[in-house]
Amino acid sequence: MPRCANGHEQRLGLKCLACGAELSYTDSMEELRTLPKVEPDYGNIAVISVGYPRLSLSADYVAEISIGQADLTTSTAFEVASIRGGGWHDFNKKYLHELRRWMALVGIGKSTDGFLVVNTTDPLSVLAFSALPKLEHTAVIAVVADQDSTPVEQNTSYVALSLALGKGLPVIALSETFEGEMLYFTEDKGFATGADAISRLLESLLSAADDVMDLLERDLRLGIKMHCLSAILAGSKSVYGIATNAFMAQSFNISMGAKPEEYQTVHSIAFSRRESEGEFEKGFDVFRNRKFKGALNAEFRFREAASQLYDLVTIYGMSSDVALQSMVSGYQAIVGNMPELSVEGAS
Amino acid sequence: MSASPAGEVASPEWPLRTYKLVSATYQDKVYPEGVLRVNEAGSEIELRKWTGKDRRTGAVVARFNLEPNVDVLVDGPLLRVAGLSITLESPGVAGEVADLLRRPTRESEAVRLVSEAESFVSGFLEVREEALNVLSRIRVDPRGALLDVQSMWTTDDTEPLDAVYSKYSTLLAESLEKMTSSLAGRESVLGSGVTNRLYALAYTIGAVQNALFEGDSDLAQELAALQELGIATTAQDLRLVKPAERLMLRAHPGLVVLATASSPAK
Repeated sequence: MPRCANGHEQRLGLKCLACGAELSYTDSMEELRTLPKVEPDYGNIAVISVGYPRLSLSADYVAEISIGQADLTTSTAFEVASIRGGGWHDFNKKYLHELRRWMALVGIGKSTDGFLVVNTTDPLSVLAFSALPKLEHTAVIAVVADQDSTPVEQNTSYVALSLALGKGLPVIALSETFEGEMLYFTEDKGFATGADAISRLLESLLSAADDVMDLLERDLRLGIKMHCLSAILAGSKSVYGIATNAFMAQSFNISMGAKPEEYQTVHSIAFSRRESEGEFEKGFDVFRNRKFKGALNAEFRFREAASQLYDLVTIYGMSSDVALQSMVSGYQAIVGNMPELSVEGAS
Repeated sequence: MSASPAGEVASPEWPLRTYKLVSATYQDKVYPEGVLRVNEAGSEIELRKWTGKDRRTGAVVARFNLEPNVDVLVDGPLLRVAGLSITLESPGVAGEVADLLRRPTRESEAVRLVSEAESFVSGFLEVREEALNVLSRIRVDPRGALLDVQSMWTTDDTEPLDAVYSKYSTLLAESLEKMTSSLAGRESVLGSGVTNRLYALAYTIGAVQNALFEGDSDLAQELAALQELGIATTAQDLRLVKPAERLMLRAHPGLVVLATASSPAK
């Protein structure tokens, strides 16, 4: 701050208000070298989709990593030109440094919660997980190859999923078959399939992002990284009757096949009108006692919603091996011919 | 220099000073009596000789528009300028006229030195303004802003935001150093009043930048300080683009006046 010859400090002005002497600014100029610290606002929820263009999502930050016509980098898109005949290894070689740089610039991991929606059969999925730094409060919602997928898809998916798990990220896996058959009713647009159905499912999950992250992180502490899910979207009493029926019905269409004893945790989130909370809570108790009595943990969360129709999403924790086992044959078949296409080749 | 033989001095904005002369020589012709008229800007002089019986009627012998860097020589009461030798009533009067005639040179030198010093102050303030603009953008749209300035991020082991701070810190240090050494180097010529005013101006504009960055609503203190520095402006005006550049432009005339007034006569 400038001061007069008598040592009085003053914020601005030419004369000292205390003694009338002239203020000297010479020694104060160094203050202007210091720039104020900023706390950038990265928002609460960030969603980055990989190999999944056209998702319609509502979050503080939504970005896409995808293959397009040409290399293009913006704050919401990392688009790379397709490589003729190229697989994940080629994209890794060409774009790994660039994607790491982009991720740092867009502040990946700096939102309160982050979700990666990844088609793990897409070659960019391996690139994305290779570039990803170790992150907290970040979960992966992954479409994964299954027994109906090609060996190349299984190899890509296996490598991507292994990298995600290796980085300690919790994963909610949806098999390619489950994703292909997804069909949900939406109040405004009718039936949704494909990317629209994924968007509709994510809409519910993201609206309860802090609950979802909390449940996944609790499972992580139990050593459970891999999950699958089942959901009823836009359900109603006239279709399912009591809440217990809805819980039971949705458990017949789980996003990855596993034996009932392989599910280690079970958590449900109901999105409904407040008056239904008690009924859903009771329904959940009956459901877990009937089907998942041996689960290590089971929690129910309720989210108030305005609609007459309700959403019900259940997340099942399971061993990581279950998801990987379904594609290990294709993975190994490819690695047998091309050893560099192994998990180690990507790390 | 240009000269014309007749007519009135055509500089109505500057009043004239009239000096009685003892004698004058112009183009080898001696004029034993007459007056020398000089405008207060020191840019025009006129030699008049007395005519008529009453010796009160003046006829213009020569009129000059003087270039700012014209040589003015004084030797006792004798003054030489632009081919004209004039003996005035005393050495003091000759000195006063010489001082008047040197005014354009002093002013032009002062304008040059002030402009040079201002350019260093502006350089520093503009770097600072750019840095604060980038930080403002980073605060609300960190992703887009950091992508735009990604060339500043050259080492992967640092955070992009830290790289931005580091880059601007270096640029600010360099431009501040240039500014302070420029002002120090010119202080003996410009005078400490002018350099102190330039420091006050730089600091006050810096305070305006800080207030705009923090989103201070009324900027009352800053506006009052600018007013004290002779810059009348409004809060809305300060919020327009490039306030530092505009404020420096507005400060310029006042600084020139200060520099001219404080510049020692030669």
